[in-house]
Amino acid sequence: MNSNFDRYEALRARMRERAERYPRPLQRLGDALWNVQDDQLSHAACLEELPAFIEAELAGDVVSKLEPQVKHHLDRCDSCAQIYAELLDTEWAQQHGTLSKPADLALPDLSFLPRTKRSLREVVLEQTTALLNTLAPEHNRELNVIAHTFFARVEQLGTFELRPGAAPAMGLGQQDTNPALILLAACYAATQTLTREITLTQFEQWARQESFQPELEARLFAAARAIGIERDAAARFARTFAEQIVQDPRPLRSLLLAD
Amino acid sequence: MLKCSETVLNELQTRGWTLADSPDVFLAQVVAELQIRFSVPDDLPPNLIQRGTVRCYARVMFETCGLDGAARQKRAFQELWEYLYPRAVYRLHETGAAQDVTQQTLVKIYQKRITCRDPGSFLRWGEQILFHEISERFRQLYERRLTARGIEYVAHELAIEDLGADVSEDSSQADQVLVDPRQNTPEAAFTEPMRSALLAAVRACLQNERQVRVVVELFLSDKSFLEVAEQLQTTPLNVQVMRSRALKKLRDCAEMQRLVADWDL
Repeated sequence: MNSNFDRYEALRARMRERAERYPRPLQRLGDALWNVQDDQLSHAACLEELPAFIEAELAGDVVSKLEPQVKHHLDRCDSCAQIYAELLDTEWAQQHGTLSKPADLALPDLSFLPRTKRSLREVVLEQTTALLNTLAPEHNRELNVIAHTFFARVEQLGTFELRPGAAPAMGLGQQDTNPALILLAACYAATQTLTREITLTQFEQWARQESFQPELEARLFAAARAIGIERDAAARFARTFAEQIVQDPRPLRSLLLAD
Repeated sequence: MLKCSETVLNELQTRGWTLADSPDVFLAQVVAELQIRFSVPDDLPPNLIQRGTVRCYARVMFETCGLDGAARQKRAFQELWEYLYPRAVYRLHETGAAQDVTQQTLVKIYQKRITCRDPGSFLRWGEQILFHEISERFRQLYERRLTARGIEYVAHELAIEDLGADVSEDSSQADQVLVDPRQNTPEAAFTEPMRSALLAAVRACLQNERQVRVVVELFLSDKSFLEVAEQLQTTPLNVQVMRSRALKKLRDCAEMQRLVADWDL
């Protein structure tokens, strides 16, 4: 049996007996001294309310009126009062200029966060820029001009084909063979097809095989042909894009779903 | 709303907070937040506009911390680190330990984010987790000492003189509280015999006028830690230390027990 509990029990009984005779403030003091366990509010409930309680206090609210249960729990509970005082204390330090920023803020390790997912659009633009730099660098500037319209249109359509008149329709001159548009369309179609057909695990396994590059090239060629790109252009695209992916698979990998 | 917008933008810039996409939209949110309690936000003192800004930004941060896979999520946690790490250094006085506890706190915030009941208090909620991590660290250090040296109690006691400058030993201040007609409950207006008896008992038990003031202000005037700290020109943490010591002394003090047991005036 807890001897402290016994020691104060007579006093607690007396306080209960004469409760209506004690002024409320004296009751609160008596409870904090000898009736700590008999509290309407639990520790967990108090701690849950604490951030909002402190915000209200700092905003100048009379918290003893706003949240009397929290206030009176803090009056009688050492552990919760300690947390409350520490939180207030740093705010106090900030207001009085004693909470200084360390010279070196150091860097957190954020590897516990989920991988940053890039959008299809971001990856396709990046890859197309690299393809244009290899195959037709003089057309790189046109990519920025057509990209927004292109993505808006294909996202609307879902599937698409490059029809005659597409380049003039996008304001890229009268010729239908604008390299920027062809590579953008091919890259989009090929990337979309790959991300739909294979998972991340399958890709990792495939990438370790010797046949990876030729098989990849075949798939990319098929995807380009499926949207109406003529044979030679599709072959050039597929060969260059496959080399690009083998050299740096990270952009494509970032789009693939885990199993 | 010019003054309000200047204060809001200045607050975001000073703190290095960049997650608010559109300044106009964010400003409207701050104004709406302030209008819940005040009719003319532009007339408010800067500190209240700053509080409103912090609450609104805390909500933005709360949402952004939940955007798994987005680049903005990383930025949100980076800003959380910049908010919490100086507080850890302030508490621990050591950067290595501060980095450890702040790192653990970020992980816990990510895991428990949805349990934060009030997104407007998200920063304070995160700070609470930080202090829990700091306490755990202290508890581990304490246990290691006990194991290595056998049974040796290591306590860090603060001397009274550490608890604030210009200790006022004027006992009339505590007395004044009990006769102040502005006390807002009838019970707080003790009659003369009650007042003298209570104060005499508290003084006899505590033998320390600052502790008497803390007890009187916290329990009899129902003031908050912050209000008492401001009155005594000390910190909230020192108020807690004084409160804790005062209650320990009063609990077992025969005079106090006798007063309460015989209270029949």
